[in-house]
Amino acid sequence: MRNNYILQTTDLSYNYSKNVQTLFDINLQVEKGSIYGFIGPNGSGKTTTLSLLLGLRNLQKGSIALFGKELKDDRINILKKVGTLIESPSFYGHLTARENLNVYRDVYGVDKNRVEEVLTLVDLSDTGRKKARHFSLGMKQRLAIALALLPNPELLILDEPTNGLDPNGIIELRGLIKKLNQELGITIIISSHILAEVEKMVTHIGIIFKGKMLFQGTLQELHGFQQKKAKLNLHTSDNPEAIKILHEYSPELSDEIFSLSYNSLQQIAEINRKLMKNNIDVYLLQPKGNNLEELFIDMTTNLS
Amino acid sequence: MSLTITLRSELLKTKRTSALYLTIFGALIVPSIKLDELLTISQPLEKMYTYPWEFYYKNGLHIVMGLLLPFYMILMTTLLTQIEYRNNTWKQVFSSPQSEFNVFLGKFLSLQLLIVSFLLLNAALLFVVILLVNVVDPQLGLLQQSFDWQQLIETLGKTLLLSTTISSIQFWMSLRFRNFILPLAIGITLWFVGLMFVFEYKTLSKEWFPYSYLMMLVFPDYAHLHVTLLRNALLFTGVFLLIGFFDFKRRKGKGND
Amino acid sequence: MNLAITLRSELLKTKRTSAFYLTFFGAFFVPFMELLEMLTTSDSVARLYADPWQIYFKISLQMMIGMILPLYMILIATLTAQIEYRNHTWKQVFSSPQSELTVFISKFLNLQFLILLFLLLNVTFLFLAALLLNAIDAKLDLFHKYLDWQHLVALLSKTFVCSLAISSIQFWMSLRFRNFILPLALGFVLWFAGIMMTFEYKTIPKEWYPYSYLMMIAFPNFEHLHLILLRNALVLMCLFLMGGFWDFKRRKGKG
Repeated sequence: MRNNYILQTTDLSYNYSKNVQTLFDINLQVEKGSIYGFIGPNGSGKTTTLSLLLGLRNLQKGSIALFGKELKDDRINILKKVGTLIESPSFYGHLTARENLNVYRDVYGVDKNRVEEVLTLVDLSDTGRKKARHFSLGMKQRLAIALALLPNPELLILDEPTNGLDPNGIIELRGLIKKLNQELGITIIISSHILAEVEKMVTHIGIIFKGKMLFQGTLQELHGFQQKKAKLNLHTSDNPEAIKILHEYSPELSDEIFSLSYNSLQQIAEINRKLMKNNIDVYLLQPKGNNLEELFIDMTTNLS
Repeated sequence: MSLTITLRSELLKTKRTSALYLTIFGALIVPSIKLDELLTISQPLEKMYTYPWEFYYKNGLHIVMGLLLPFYMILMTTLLTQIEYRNNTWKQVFSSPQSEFNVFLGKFLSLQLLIVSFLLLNAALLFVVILLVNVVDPQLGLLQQSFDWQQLIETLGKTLLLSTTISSIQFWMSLRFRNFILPLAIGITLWFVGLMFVFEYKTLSKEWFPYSYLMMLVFPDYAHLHVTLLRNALLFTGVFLLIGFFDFKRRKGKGND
Repeated sequence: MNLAITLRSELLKTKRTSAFYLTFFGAFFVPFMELLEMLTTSDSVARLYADPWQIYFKISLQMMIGMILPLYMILIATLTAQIEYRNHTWKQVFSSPQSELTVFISKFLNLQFLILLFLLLNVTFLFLAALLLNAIDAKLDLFHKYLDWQHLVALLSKTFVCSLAISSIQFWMSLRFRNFILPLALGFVLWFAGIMMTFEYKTIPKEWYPYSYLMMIAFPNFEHLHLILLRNALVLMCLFLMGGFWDFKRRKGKG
């Protein structure tokens, strides 16, 4: 038996054609009860990973365990406990919201009341005979989420659910996701290419870039990581001399200024004192990289 | 001038689409069936000795004109307009600096261009087939017989004129309906009814049923009607293009299922 | 049990689609044409007097079975598969707890259900058209004329079994290709070649060319082949369903 991970992948690799590998040894670990943000720029392998998790693509290398069971051993029963929204919202345009859910009602073995429940949950219960293709973008998205919620899932996988939503829609969705997690205890995996969009709702973060995991851990750990990676920009009356003095911080010179890494505010003061002691005038002393977005861009640009 | 630009843009859109492949492979069907038939069975060849060129038309060009061409037009018209529907590009088309009229005409002309290519490709390939058969069985003496070029050009000309009726009706329907099955099902049904009219039924006067025209061009019994048919065909084409254009301008690709 | 659930879900999906409307309105076509012809031309009804039921069904069913049914099947197979392609719902289908086999079989059964419905609606409408004719022209005297039920039932059953070959080939192609024009164009060409094969050309033995089967059921002179055709239709259906399923499982709606 494997610990308390609701989902775990081991050395997951995938390639679409012989020469181009899309995923390299992905080890996802999603704790029960968490909201896991799966972040990466477009084309980094998010959808491929999620498709593998659901068996939409055949496994090439590595293994996938959901609810402590191998996916390939019991796919159908595992899927009964998973709600999904993959890429674009998925529904039949010629059917109403209610009919769309009825298509899957028996497949997931839930009763009529459940259909009404999820419709109320996403605020679509009064759409009556209106066909889904006439819905607004936000309504379509909510219908797709209703479908994902239909089986009363223990795990919800949402691929880019904020795509195409307006700021209001994003805030609403964020509220809904928190509610589902806190009140119903659903574990949620949510993918996005924008860190800021999910930062406010997730408990855990996994960052994927070019098919490799760059980071995986709690939000706190990411903040810690960010501290370690924080940079200080400096410009002085004698930059070469200053670099010599501060060599223990491994400074890097670029044009007018140079930068170095620091861990705490005390260090900044210390650096300043050292420069003053050596009679170097400080023109610029600027801590940088204080938000996650910059860290994310940093991480992904360093590699590209 | 701007029409040429629009037309070029329309033709570019067909690049690598099934519309183009259908034209080429569609034009191979009758010639290859014909070749297969002529080479595997000895009987037809003997029958050909007296009037060898007649077989160019019979079971060859006539089948293309009467059966395959209408079918091809129904499929092709739907395909061509579906390029915009499938890619959700209507809005882009209408927000670019081209008048609705140019877009409409540009699309219709590129459709006609494909139809002409289909017909000419068929006619040319059938020649190749007949010449090939002549090599296999020199007794045919094809090259000693004179070929009536005028008749061929006249037949092809009439075929194209008559075909514009079907293509303009289908064109209108295909632009109108987002759902591809409607123009296809309606077109195939009308074509089918057209066949029945020629062979079986006598209800309607067939010179007013455009889906019968091409069939009537094939059979000699209707030679006296050809002038009437040509006139009616042009009339229909004019009317349906006008209706089609007004409908198109009004709806601007909003399509209806 | 699982299959019943998936089948019900498939049937629900066809609600209000053109697939459904095509089945219904398509079934009007032959009866309507028949009625139109009988009512507008004078000698058509007189032709029936001798043996009205048999002649009536022979003329109308020839057209329906030989021509309309294959066309309908080609259209309907494409339409039903396109429901998923057009709505981008394949991924949702495959990430729901249904096995690929259940989905595949349900889609095929759903298709067969529509085809059967089309066939039965056709016959029903033809009956109604005949009764209408009888009301207009009492000389037909349909109620006192012999109707060969057994022959009719046998003919319809043979038709259905032979149609399985075409519908399973089209089913496979329609699932395989995202682009609707491919299965349609291929189907039409094959059907067209089938007509030529039946009446004109003699190259391939036609008992192995499934798109000719319905023609050969509908028109006389091929009775001696019927048993072989039925057997071949079943063999071909099995082959194409197996090949189709293998392909379906491998591609999972990637079209």
